[in-house]
Amino acid sequence: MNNDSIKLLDPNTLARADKLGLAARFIVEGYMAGEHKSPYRGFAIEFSQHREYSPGDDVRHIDWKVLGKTDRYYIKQYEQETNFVAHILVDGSESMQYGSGDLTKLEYAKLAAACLAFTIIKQRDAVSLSLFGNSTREELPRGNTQNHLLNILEKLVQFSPSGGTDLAGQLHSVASQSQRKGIVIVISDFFDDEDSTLEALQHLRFVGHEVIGLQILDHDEITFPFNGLVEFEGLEEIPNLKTRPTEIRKSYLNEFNEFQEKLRDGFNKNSCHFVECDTSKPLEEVLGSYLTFRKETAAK
Amino acid sequence: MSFLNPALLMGAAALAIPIIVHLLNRRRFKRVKWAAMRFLEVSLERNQRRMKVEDWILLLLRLVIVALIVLALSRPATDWIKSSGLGSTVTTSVIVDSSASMQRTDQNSDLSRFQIAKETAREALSATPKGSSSSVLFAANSSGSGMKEPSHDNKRVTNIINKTKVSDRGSDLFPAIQSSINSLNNSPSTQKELIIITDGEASAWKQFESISRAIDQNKETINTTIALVGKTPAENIAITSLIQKTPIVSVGQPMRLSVGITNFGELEINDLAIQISANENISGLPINIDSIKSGEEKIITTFVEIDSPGYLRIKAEFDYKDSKSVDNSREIVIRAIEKIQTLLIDGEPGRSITESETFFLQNALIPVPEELIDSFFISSDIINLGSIQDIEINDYDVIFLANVPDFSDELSNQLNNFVQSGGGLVVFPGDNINTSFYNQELHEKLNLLPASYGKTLPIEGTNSILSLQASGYNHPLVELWNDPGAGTLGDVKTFKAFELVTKDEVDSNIAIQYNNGSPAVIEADIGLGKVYQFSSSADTEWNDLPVKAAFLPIVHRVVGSVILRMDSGLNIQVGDTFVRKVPQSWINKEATISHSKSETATFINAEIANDGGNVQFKEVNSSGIYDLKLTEPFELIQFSATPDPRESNPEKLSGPQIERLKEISSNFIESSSLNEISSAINQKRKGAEIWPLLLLAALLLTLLELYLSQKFSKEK
Repeated sequence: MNNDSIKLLDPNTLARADKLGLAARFIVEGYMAGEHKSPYRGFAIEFSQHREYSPGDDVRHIDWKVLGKTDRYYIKQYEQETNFVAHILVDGSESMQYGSGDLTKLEYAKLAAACLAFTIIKQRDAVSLSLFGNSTREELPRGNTQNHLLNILEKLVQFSPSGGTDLAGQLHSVASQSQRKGIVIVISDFFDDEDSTLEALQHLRFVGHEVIGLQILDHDEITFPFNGLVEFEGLEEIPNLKTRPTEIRKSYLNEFNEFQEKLRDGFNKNSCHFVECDTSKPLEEVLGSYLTFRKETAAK
Repeated sequence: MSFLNPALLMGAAALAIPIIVHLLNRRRFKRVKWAAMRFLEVSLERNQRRMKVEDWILLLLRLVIVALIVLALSRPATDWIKSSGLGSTVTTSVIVDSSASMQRTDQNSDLSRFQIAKETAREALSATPKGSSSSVLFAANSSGSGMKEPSHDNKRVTNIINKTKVSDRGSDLFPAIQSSINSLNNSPSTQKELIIITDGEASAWKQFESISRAIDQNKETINTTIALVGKTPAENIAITSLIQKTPIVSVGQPMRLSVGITNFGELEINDLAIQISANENISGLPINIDSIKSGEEKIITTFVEIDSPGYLRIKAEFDYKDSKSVDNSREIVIRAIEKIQTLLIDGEPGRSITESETFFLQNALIPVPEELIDSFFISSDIINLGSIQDIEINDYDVIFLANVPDFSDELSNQLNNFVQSGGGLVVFPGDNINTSFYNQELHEKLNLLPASYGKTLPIEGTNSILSLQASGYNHPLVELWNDPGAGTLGDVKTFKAFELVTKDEVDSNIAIQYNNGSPAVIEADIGLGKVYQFSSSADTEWNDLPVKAAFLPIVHRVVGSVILRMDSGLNIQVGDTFVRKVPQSWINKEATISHSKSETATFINAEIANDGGNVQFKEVNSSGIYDLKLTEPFELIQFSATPDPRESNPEKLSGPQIERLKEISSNFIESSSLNEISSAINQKRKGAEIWPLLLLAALLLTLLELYLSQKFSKEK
């Protein structure tokens, strides 16, 4: 683990995330020993495949029947290694590059993704990672090992943003490709066509995924505090705009809040969680309050 | 509309300032990389039109504000607005003609021209905008009384106008106009106004060319208004002269007077009775003039019996109602003398009285039998040069030097002072005289003699005998020979004479000349006295004049002219300075001078002069008799001031002159109506200065701009 990776794992954040854990909003497929409720409790864990024994494997997993029949050592692999799969989708478009404070939105998003991955893997659940813009730019298949965590962190650290966003396309793709129901955690500013996004959300819900939207917003984007004459340089290849922000602040905030409301409504209607993260607020607070909320609602 | 600071209109370039500021501001955009562009785009799309309109409104407002400030600085004035509170401050110099002709009251008018002029001046000054400055000059024959330099104290100026009375002076507007133009040119004001209120009589415009040039040269900076009040009166008849014709006025002798009456009106006047009075006592019957035609001057001669010595007020008047009554009478002061004291200094007494140099002179001076000598009005003392110390020369009125060789410096100076203080000196040459003494001491050094003695005449070998002039008697001394009945001087033969050589520095006149043109007698006014310098002798040694009949009148007229010279200051023209030599006893004493019709007197002090003192009085503004009094011991000198006869002439400016004045003045008004003149002057003013309104508008627009820019920049 290099230094950048270590940075991502903010001890405070991790401590909060670890303490609170991640309570699944819905019953997910698969057995989960521990705190997760499983509809398959008491049943054998689903067999996945055999593979040849190699030194170092746990001898408890040797399929003795196969040994008896074939005199060869095979290890039984079960899906019980993971209780649920969390698909973490991180928006890596240029719009995530914006940051008025210490962190850009992407940095904040990476940190959130790292924390969530750490927490989930620590719970022995599997995590897959997808970094996307207009298309998927980096991807890691699901995994629940420490090595996988390290790989996730490595990917996050090395990733740099570029291009526009096709959030809806990305969600549709996840909905189409993933065969198992899981949790799809979308970390983005959601500055894309909200109707398409919500349509894709429906798609994900349709195939059984729980979806959590972590909307990363800079404080300036929420308050639009600019004064004087400002030339806004459009990220994602949008032409520059010159204006006097104070004169359009109300209009901007109306537009913005309308957009937010629409997103919130869309997520609510689809029984999804939509978490707004202000990059000016500490991540542990945001995650902590969300996970608390999630645990409470899961207990009901 | 006109601009008082048109150069500042260049400031219109400042209109570029808001535009430049706008363009510079475009460079001052803070650049922000921004993600949430979609909301911005929508907001801008919705607000773009409104923001552009607001921008245009603000830019327009700022341009208008700058334009208004530039306009205000260039001080526009307009006559659209009539408000003294907003008027353009102006420096006004008013010249009111206060000469005698302004006393006239025109037909159909209750006010005299001077009253109309004063009221017009008051109206013109009261209509000047607040903050204006003004001056007023009353012009009559000098640079004018009043206040030359403009003052913001309008009350003071109005007081001067109220208090000033019309004078009997003649008028010459040029000095006052020149003085006003100079003071206006020194004024920092941008709007300058010269208002000349006069009656347009030609006499006041005698320096017309100089006046029109001065106005024309300054017309770019000074707006000149010329207001001519008064119409040409149909009638004006005046006594234009009253002259003492008898050279020596003495008690018991009749005095001859000439009275000039001129009809300046357009109608013939019949049966005009002229009454003469002495010291307000009617003297004789009125003299009737049957008819005086338009433009005609009639001279009548009359006699007045003189029965007491001293100052006499002689008045000629007639009773006739015309447009100007002040010139219907004329008054002079004469001094009747009981006895004239003459001193004859004989340079060649001879063995008997008949051989003396002064024999013929004395007989000419006192041509009466021995028993009448004491009662004759001239007395004479004959002395030799040696006994000069025994007499006081200041006791005499006229001193004759007959063939006196030369004398001491002391006597030279005494004679000089004697002449300077009003005495008469008559010098005859002869074989005895030291010409170099006369030429160097008396002529060159003291300027007592008007000429030096040059070579002797006639030049040998040419014409051996000179004759006196036979005609062309222009000098008063010999003017009586213009009458052929009086004979001629041409038969007077001169065998020897000195050439009289004058110098330019001394004003002198040739009284009599020889037939070859050489001067025979030169006369000059020296100080208050008079000097006659003869070229030939007083006896018959060099000429035969002493034995001619003409000798007596010549000698008497010489003496008379000296006496007249002494009293010449007694009759001055209104506006002239009265100057009188007074005795030593007047020095450091309190004296007063007052007009006979005035209740107030002016204190006056005699200035120390060479011999005694000088009294000067410059404020001779009214015609009539003035008394100069010494209180302790009481002494009285009277003098008369007569009006300039030209003031009686109502002749107006000529047509071409009026056209020229119209051309060079910015406002030319001919009217006797006070309202017409005042409104014409006010109408021609540049009107109200509207810079305060413009600044107010700029201020209000600035406030509006501030309000709108705040409102526009509010969150929307």
